[in-house]
Amino acid sequence: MAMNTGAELPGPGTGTGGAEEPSDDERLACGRLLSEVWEAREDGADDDPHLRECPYCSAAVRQLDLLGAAVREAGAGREPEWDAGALTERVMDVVRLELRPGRPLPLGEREEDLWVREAMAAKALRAAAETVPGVRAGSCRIRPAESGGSPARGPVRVRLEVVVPLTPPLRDLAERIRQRVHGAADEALGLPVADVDVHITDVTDPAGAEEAQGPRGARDTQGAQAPQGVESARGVQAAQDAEEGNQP
Amino acid sequence: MTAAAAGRDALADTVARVAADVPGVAFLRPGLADLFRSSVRTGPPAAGGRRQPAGVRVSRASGSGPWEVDVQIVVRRDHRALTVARAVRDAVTGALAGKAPGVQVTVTVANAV
Repeated sequence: MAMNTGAELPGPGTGTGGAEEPSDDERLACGRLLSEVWEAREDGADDDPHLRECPYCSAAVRQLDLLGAAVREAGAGREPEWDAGALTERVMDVVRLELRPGRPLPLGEREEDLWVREAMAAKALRAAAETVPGVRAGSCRIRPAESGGSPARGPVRVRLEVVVPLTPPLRDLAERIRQRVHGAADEALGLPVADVDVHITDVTDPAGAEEAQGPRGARDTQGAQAPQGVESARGVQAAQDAEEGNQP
Repeated sequence: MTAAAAGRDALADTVARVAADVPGVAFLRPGLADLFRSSVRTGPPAAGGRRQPAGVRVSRASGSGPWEVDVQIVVRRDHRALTVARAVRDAVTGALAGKAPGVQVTVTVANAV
């Protein structure tokens, strides 16, 4: 297996499904992407005058509202414990992944013709990383580990960004995250994974005091206590990168 | 509708029915985004036009070549995606063995719920 070099790493992510992805996303006649319009609507960002005035964006938002209303209506009164809010969220999740499914990734053996979409796989792997207490997963990019045909069969390489509690040694924590991601890729998906690159992009105070003193203060305090002298986020990243370089 | 198109649509209906019945399949990729797309861009589709079920595409390179079937499924979260995808492939291949020998089946897991 090739050594990890910077040149081989997938570029920094913009979340699942970057702009260069093949996508089912729709560009409206006004130039906006349908997914962006929906996200703005869901985020409650209605202070954009374009969204209010543009007939194409308005029509797209109306469709979204109609779907939401239809889902809520379909669920209402069906069962006493029916959670219409959760159902709506799940339906919208399906719609969102249809718009930005990401690239197809190979499932199973090389000679099989079975695939999983990157957005769904990334969702599962992020969730697996977050089963480690205190870990928050960010961007997750999954790429073929080998260059070759398109779309390529064969194992993939996962690049996952995480925010972790500052509980040294961070290498052990990163290794636990890597194991969970490997485990989920195998058990929940059946996605052959060659490498999992865990990038620690930030650290939080494990005591939850960051709101009071901020991450920097927490880091300084913990850094003084850390047996390996973790002094800054930069040092954390460097240690992490060094570890990745040693990966088999 | 031509006889070839009718035959293709019948195959697509069979594929959709068989795939949806496989344990672990929540539903076929519903094509909700397609509904939005067509209405946003051009208004409702013309009446009378029949479409293959969303999530199933049936085609063949030539009039006598082998059929190619592409199935996109949404799986249940508590099932392994690979296991479900293999079961769908085997079920579809088996169901079409008489009507479309040598069929090539591609299965894509689009989401989990």
